[in-house]
Amino acid sequence: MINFSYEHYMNLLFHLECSDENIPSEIARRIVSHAIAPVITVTSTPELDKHIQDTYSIDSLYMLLRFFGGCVSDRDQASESKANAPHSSSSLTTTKTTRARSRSNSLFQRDSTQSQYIRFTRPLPDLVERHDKNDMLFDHHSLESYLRQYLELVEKFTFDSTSHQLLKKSLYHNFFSLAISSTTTLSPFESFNHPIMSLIALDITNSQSYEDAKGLLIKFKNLHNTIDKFPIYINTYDMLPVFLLCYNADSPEEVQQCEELSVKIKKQLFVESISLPLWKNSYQTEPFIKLHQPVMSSLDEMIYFLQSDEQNTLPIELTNTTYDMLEKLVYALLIPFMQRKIAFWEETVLQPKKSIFHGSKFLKKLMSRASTSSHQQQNILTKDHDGNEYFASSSPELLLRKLADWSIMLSDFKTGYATYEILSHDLELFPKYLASCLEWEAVSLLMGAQNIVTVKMMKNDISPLIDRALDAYDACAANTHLSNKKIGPTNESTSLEPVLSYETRCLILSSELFLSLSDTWTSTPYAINYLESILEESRLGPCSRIMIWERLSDCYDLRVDPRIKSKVEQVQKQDNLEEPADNEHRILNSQDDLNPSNIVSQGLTRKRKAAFFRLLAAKMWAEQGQWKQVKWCLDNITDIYSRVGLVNRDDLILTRLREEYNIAVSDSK
Amino acid sequence: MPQYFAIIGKTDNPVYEAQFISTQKKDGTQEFPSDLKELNPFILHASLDIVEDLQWQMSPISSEGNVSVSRGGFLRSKNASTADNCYLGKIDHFYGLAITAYITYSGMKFVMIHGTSTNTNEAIDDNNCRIFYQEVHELYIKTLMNPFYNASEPITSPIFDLRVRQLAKKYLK
Amino acid sequence: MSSSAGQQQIKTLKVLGEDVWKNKVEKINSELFTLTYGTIVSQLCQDYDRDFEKINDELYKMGYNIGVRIIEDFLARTALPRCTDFNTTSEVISKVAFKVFLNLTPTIANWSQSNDAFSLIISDNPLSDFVELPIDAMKSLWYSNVYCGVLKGALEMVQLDCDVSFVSDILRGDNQTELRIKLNKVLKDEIPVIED
Repeated sequence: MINFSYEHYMNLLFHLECSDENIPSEIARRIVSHAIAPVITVTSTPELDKHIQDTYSIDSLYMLLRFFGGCVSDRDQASESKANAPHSSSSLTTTKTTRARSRSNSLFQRDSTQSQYIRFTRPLPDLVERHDKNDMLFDHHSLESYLRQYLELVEKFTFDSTSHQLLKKSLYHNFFSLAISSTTTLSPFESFNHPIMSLIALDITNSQSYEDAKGLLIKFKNLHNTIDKFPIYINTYDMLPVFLLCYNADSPEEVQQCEELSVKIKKQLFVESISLPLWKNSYQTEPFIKLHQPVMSSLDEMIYFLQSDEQNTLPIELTNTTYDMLEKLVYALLIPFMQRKIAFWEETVLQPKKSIFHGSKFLKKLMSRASTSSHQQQNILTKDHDGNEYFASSSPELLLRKLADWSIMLSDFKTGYATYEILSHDLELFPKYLASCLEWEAVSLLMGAQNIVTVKMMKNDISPLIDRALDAYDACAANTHLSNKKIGPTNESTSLEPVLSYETRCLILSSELFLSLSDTWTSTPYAINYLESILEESRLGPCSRIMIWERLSDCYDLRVDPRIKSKVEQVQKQDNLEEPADNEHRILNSQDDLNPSNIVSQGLTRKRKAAFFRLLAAKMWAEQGQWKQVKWCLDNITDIYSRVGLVNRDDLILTRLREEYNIAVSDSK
Repeated sequence: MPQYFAIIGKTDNPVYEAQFISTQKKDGTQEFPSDLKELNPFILHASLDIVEDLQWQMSPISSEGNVSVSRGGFLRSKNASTADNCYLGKIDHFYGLAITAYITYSGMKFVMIHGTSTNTNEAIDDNNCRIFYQEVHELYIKTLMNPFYNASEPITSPIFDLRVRQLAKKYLK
Repeated sequence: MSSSAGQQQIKTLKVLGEDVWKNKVEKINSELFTLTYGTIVSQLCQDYDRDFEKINDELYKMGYNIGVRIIEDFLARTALPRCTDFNTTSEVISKVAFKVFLNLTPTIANWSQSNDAFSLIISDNPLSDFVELPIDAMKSLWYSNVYCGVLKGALEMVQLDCDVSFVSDILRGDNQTELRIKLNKVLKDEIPVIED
């Protein structure tokens, strides 16, 4: 029996055997936690990379470690082994105990603080180099081409018999995770993608020593001087360097070397080290496991790996050892470091601010009016090399922002919310910063509030925040538009895209979080509203847009009055169980529709709306030639439309789509 | 503007359907474009959810969020004049198309999709629209009294059709 | 009979009809009445598989059965004396009988030259309120054929052997609803009323 995990769900296409499992409704919060997980850069030496390539045919240490991103305690790469080689060698049993201990399926955990997600990325210089000058968050062209490739895979891997309900959800969430997360974009307005830890690796087997370590560390510390156009909003002091000493476990000398080096580094460079036995003779005799792609990666990497057939394998024991190492890295170094920094910023930046005003709005107003000029001076933007103006990394605004961002990375949504709230008052004049700040203020409410979000909260707190954020984004767009006009005739559409990419992210993020709330009757209208704005405003590609259309259908499907929720779920379960339904069941059902309690229940769902939007999606998928998607959509709505005479006429779209689908399928055969 | 009008029974069965085409030459669009024509019944079917929601509402809905409701529910007030309650006003919209509805006391749903005219962004004339619905309601009652008409079966009477079209011409633009 | 006397008689009959209608008849809701009749007809259509000739017969028979009873009630209520001639009979039917039972007064028209047949033009036929005939019934169904049966039955009870049938019906798209009554003979065991 496979334990259905977060990773299984997100990569459901590659785990089709799980396609009848259930997922918790707040799955979106997991994904968001993952999307904003702390980023660790991996810096390696050419020698080490070559060594890894020789042994494991993986290009570099980064390429190896990126497989281990995600929820650390899930150990999802290792869980694969359980499924693929259940009867294999005895070595499995030895590792089994450790795994059993640490197996904690993040998918069904009630509390997101129990699982910490991490993301790996390339070294900082690479990130800076690839950085988009327009501060673009994500590129919808890449998103679209990724989606298309993924759909091709769907076409390839699934059959008519494949059950697609969960797979479709997974498909959307996969799309969603890429739209809201990217490990490579260094946004000046938020710090989620700013690396927090820099892992610097040495190859002990290749006798790399203290001198190498020192050189690498100095290089790292000097990055802002050596790299041309180093972003002014990144600060290497807020990144924790950690040495990763890779050694051969069969060599006692190397083990000793590691220990000595780590002590020396700590003493003289004040940096922690952690060691990883990358090589061991026994590894080769062990079963290897196939590594699956990590759930979240940068879009470019995702596209690259979808195209390549590369299949990487690693020994089981090494996989487990690596997870052990990562657990240590995260729980002993990364999290304490973040907590220390948060405490420090709270003390030096947040507290002084609080003590001046001490929550008194009146005084605050007075102060701000009296000291408008000095206030202005305080919030000052710095010009960077390209002439763009940003808050510098040491500015109190950015530090507060980091404090808040880091808090919610560690699932402390309360501190996060409070800090965004305070910060938002300082950012009134800086729409780009303000928008992002308000957006995350709302997100931290939605993420933190679990099930106690009330109608009133949605209406009075969360929704206005998001609206304000959207207004602020609009204001940015208007500004950009204006300033471009001044400069001269530039391509308007490209200049607006950066802001739009943020706005789209905000919309898609908040819609999904609203859907994760338990009272779907009240929350779905908001989600629908945001999704509709995406369709109106953003410039997503055609397939991406259809994903949104389908999500609209999901929203309506979820819109069930709490009074009849259990009943509807029951009926749905029945339907699922008894498919294909026999006639008798149908008749029973239709009689059911006539009983009075059912008549009263009408109007408490939006199933017909859901079907309609699914139909629209089917129509659009057909336009894109995605026949598998067309079929799934049509399958979905068969039930609800089958008994409605109004819509089953030959001159209407439903019949036409069915015919077109049949033609397309017979053509392809 | 063209309109697509239908009377829907309790089991979502269509009792009557008609498309009204504007005869005014100055009005650019006289007919629904073909892609909408094949979609209209679906749009209408989708809004039935909201009609039913309103059917059981005691008070006007404000939390509807995305849907702008111009009046309250069917049950909303005992004081309001009775004929008024049936007219639900604009209940839904879909990309520029407005959807109005009227519900009879026996739960028959009269729903209409109002097409958009190219030249102006006219709002629906609530008063005329209400009168149209009320008169169709009367015609419907008469039809129902016809012993040869079985309730909830499609209305095939050409006279009914003719009269409804006359009403549409009179009250709808 | 002089025409003024005739006029006088018609007036009396009219007053009588109205008086009985007003004071001696219990009334029911016309829609209930209409619907009840409509239901019967449409049920017959179903039962006889839309064989409209048969349905006409059936309605006629039902009417006949009503007619043979109702005449008793009618005479008791109105206390009318025997009609002196067929002319008077027509007036009684129109001004009293239709008035009392249906609150309508058909127009008498189209007397035959031999004075043995006349038509009743029924406008606002309460039976056919709301009714719209299905297309297949337009040619052959006499929707209100029950009238014919009633008249036939009632007249027979007062020794008048008549043929009663519809000539036209608005429901079938005609201009008016016309019912024809033709006297065959006065039944024998009674002394014929002969005017002198």
